[in-house]
Amino acid sequence: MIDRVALVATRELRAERRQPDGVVAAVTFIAVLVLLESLVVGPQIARDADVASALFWLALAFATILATMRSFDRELEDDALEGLVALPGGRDALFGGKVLSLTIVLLLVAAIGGLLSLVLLDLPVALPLHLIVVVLLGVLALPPIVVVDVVLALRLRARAALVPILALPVLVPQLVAATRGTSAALSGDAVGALSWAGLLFAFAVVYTVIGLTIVPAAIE
Amino acid sequence: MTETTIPRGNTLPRIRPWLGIAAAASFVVASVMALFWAPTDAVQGDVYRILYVHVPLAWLAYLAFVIVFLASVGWLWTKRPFFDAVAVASAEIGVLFTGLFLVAGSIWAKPTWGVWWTWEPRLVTTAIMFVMYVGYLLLRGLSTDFSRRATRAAVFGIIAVIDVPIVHLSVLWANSLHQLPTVLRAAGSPALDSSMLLTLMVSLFAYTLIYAYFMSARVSLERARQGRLWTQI
Amino acid sequence: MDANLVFIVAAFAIVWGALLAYLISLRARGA
Repeated sequence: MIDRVALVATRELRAERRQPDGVVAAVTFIAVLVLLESLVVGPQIARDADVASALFWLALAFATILATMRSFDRELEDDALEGLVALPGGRDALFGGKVLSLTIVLLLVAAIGGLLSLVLLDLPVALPLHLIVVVLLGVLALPPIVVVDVVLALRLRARAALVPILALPVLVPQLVAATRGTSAALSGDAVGALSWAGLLFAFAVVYTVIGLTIVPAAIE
Repeated sequence: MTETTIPRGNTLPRIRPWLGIAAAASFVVASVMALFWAPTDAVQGDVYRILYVHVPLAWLAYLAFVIVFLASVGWLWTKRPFFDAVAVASAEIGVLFTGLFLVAGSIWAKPTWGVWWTWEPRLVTTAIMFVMYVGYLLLRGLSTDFSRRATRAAVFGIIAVIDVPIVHLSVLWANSLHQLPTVLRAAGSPALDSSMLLTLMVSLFAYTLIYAYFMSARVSLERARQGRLWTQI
Repeated sequence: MDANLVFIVAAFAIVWGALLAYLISLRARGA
């Protein structure tokens, strides 16, 4: 099973490497958001730990949705879905592989986008290690649900509009935890940062388990 | 698709007229009690009467979504179309009741708290729950294939229900860690004397019957549609 | 009379109206 998951994941990552427009688009999105932020609310407010964190994670949430939809669009174009699903344990592998590859891509986006935000906004980072932990766990918690939602909306019209409606309410807990955790790490609240990080880990586990349980039913 | 059940329309319509009469009668009684019989509150005056509508609708909205969950599990487990019918019916009515209790609550809040809306945890969770179930209905609305639609909806129905308490806890936790000043009493309901409690119970009973009646009608409507779908194959 | 009468009336009218509208829509759809 694990090697099949790895197979799907490697396929995804290779495709992304060949055409990294997903990563590029997501990072550009974050950069544009940061610039807009500074212009619209002024650099003082933009540098506020809470504001900067919130916008960063919202951008990542959208990036997750975009990346996941692109990943499945590739699938539909190649008609590769049927073959993969037909294998025993194929659906689990598909879910696992997609989540894994998306997590890796998003970590890359988060790293570049995050560094960009820190530089452009001149954000003081009180607890860099805590920040890395929070961002890592936050990114882990995003793909499982989004993958399930994209699978659910797979061959429907208007799925570009439907997926955010399905995914964002369900992602609220993760986004709240990630934003608070990031803000805490930026402003030096070690206890706060770690508690939110713990919660994010719990979310990542719970949603991955839910996804693994439920996705076999959802993919035809 | 291996199921070939022809929906049995007979049992529900026989109960339904009686259910309808009972619902209408108790609704009238409850409304009279709520508007005229129950005493004026010492603190809130007469505006609190809105709660006689707001609270029952809230209870039933939550019940409706629990039923969506159970029906979703039922469909995934047994693939019987009946469960899918119950799921969509309960979701529709649940969305209606949620929207209504949010509106009623907002109208009550303005004279009582001075604001139409506040970012209090329960309100935020309810708003998110509302959007989730609208999403559920949209997901259904955009699907054409019966069996796939039922499965998609069931999967999302289960995720949505699991998520509501998680959303609520995270919003609560976020607020407490941030120590937002809660000027507004969390409960917000008047101290209940016995006649108020009675009115509330009667209202709850009446709206439960209304829910049951709506469910009965909506489920049989869905079953009829399912019957037409099967015969088109 | 309570100055907030308009709120009470509005709330009840909206709720009752919506419930009635849903009932009518059920009938119209053939329930």
